[in-house]
Amino acid sequence: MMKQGEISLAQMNIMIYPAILATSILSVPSITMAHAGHDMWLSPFWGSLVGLLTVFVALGLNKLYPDRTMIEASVSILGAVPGKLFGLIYMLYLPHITGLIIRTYGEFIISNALPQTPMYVIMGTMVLVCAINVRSGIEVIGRSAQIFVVLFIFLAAFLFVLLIGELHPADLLPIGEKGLRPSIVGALAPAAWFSEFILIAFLLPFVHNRSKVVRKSMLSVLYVTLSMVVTNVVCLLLMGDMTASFVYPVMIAARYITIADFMQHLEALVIALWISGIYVKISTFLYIYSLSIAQWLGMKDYRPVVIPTAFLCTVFAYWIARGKSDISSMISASANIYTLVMLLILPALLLGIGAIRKKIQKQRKGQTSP
Amino acid sequence: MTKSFRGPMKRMPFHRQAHMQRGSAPSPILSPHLKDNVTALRAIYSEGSDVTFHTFHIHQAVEAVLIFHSTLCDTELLDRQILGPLIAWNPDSLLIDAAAIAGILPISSSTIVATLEEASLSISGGHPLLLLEGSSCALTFGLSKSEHRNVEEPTAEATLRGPREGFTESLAVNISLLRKRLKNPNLKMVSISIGEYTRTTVRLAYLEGVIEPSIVKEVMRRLSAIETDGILESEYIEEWITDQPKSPFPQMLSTERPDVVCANLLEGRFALLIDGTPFALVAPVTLFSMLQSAEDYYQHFIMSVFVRWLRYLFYILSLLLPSAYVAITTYHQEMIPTVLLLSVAKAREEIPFPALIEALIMEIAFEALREAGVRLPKQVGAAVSIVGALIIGQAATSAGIVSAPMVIIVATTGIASFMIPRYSAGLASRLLRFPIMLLAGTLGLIGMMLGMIVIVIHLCGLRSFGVPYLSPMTPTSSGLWRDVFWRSPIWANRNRLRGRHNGIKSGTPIIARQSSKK
Repeated sequence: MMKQGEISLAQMNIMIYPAILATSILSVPSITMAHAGHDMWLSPFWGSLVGLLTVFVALGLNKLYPDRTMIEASVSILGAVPGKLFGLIYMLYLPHITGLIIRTYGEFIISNALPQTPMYVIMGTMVLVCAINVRSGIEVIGRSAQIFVVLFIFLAAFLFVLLIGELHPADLLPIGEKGLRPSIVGALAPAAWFSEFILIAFLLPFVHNRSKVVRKSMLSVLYVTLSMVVTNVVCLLLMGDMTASFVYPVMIAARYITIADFMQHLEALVIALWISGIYVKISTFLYIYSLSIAQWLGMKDYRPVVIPTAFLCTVFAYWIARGKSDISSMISASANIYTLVMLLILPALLLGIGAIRKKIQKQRKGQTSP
Repeated sequence: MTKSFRGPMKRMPFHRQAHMQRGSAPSPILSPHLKDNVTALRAIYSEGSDVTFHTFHIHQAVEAVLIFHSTLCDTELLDRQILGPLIAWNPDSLLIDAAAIAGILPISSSTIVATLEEASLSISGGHPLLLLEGSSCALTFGLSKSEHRNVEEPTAEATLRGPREGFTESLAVNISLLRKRLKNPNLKMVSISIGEYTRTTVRLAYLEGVIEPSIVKEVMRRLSAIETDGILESEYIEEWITDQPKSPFPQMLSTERPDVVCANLLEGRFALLIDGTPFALVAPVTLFSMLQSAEDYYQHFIMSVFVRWLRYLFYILSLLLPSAYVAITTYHQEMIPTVLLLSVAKAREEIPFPALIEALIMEIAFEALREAGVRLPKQVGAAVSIVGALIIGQAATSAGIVSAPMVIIVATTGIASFMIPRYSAGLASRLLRFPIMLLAGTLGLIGMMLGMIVIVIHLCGLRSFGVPYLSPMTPTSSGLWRDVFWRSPIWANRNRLRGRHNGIKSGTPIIARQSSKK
């Protein structure tokens, strides 16, 4: 076990908050709207059930092996060779998802702020900054997250409070026009984001005050759910059924902001503040990938692999998609199931096998000892 | 055997070896014969030195020699308090030794030395040395005298209300300035001399029972590891012992004010007083304590909260304002309200440079003016500012080399950086302004944000003697926020820096602490 610094439970939850919301705030409203229609603001509630399930799996794995991340625990649960094979799946999946996040960032910046800047400059500078962060260790990641999440929440509050005057509450009606089914189908996309709560299984070994972890994790799910619901409701009340037709509805919402007829077109400011969220998200995923690959290879320190993994993730960001249309297919329908399998179902299987093996061991002990 | 012995000796730090030589080397013990000692000392102070060797006889029988630097010691007192009584002394027996003499002389501070090295150290330090025939011990007297200026008002840290005393170059004066404010035996001042040639006395001051004991141990460890020829200013020490010397952010506070040092001692920090400089070093510090001024506590607390927030705001402005202007005028013109945009565009119409180049020219010119103003004599300094204001403010704008809004931005940035109460804390924002400007000129607001993120990452990893630089913001200890994000009244604000030892929880008022002890 490589112990390199510790974070507090609050810091872990603060890291996870933007790790889920930073990208979901951009595209979740329109994706859910495409399936759930008017009831899209209900979908995050259904999605949060997946979040709770993931938290349960992550905490269960941690209970079996309190000082091991999922990659280390898999070897203990499945044995050396199957465990390493299980880890290998994540060695291939983590750069995939990290690359996707980086690409989402790049596409968003290109289409909204710097249309003429080359993609590699935008993605490269961000990945470089995150790599510096990750190399500084988990403590620094946790502390910088604390500062930037405040900025990120300030952004969301700023955006939504200033829009109150523009909202039309009547757009919320009719509720449940076609029953609950559409909103449950629409919950697939939020559910994929909620499954990112599996980060707990990787970060919890570094948390030093774990006594209230169950309660605090549940609260964390609640905060994420509420934030998603508020985002969806604001988009719905502001743009009505048009929400589904925009790729980044929240950015459209930002254009509505005017303060005293003087401050207008604050999109650039909104983007700059949003970067504080995506920065925490990329850093967290890059850290987990670097840590996992170092643990999988049995290295003592993850720092040497940070720069190579950062480079690999940037390359993956290019490989995963040819253009914008590919990106949007990556974050809808089938891709969501892919994410759910990797982040929820496989860890759940691991937990199941681990729990059964523990039980068998206990029974054997019970048989031999008396 | 020899190998195993040599191994660890080689790895031992140099200063420890030197210390061992000094302590246990056989050569420098004083001999009982006066002649030998005098020859040995004459050899040390042979050429080009101003040491006086004064030979006389006690009771016209015992030969004695007084050796002293006539420029460094108080010769008048020496004649009256030592020479006079000794010549007139009528001892019972002629078997006199150093201890007996110390007993009869009307002088309070005298020390017995036994080695040649100690003897030469005390002579160089300005203390007269008395050698006696037939005694293998010598006696030194604390009669050193050096020139120092009077206690004056500190020039670098002025306050409207508050004590007007500042430290001087004399260590003894500085210690007395501290002692008269903190009348408590728990105020400890550990002495250590640093520098092979300068032998500068450094005093580590702290309040026992208030400071975390591990911090004292750590400072002493770092101080004793210094190997250098000379210490001339506090910065020499600071660079040796800071946690991360390569960071532009100062991790120790340097102050001229005894009241600031006392306040910090009371909050559980330590101070280093260095002989020969009016600046004391205080640590552990955080970014927020670098942005606080003594006057925050000498005026009404509501006013202090206002001033403090103004300072935080302008600290950020001094770092970001030019880059924000560059980013917005280059990339995000839509953010500027139309009327303002028109006037900015009109002003920039005839400027040949892009905004980034314009900003860099002006900022560098401003920094040059500022540096020139600091270094020049006071009479010439005024001329610099007139020339600067006229040329840059007026002529350059009317000639169409820089635009008027740019002048406003640079001037505001200048004022913002003057608002930082600590000169050393302002250096970081002056320096980091330039890379952020470059980022803003290439990537707009996003570049600025990336620059800020890198700075915050750096600050998050920084520590000052084990205390995280951004505490109490992160890692969070909200109990201490009352002295960071606002300033609560004095009676509600008795925080000690992590005073977790002796069962004292940080953040509890002292009154509550005393009642719980009973």
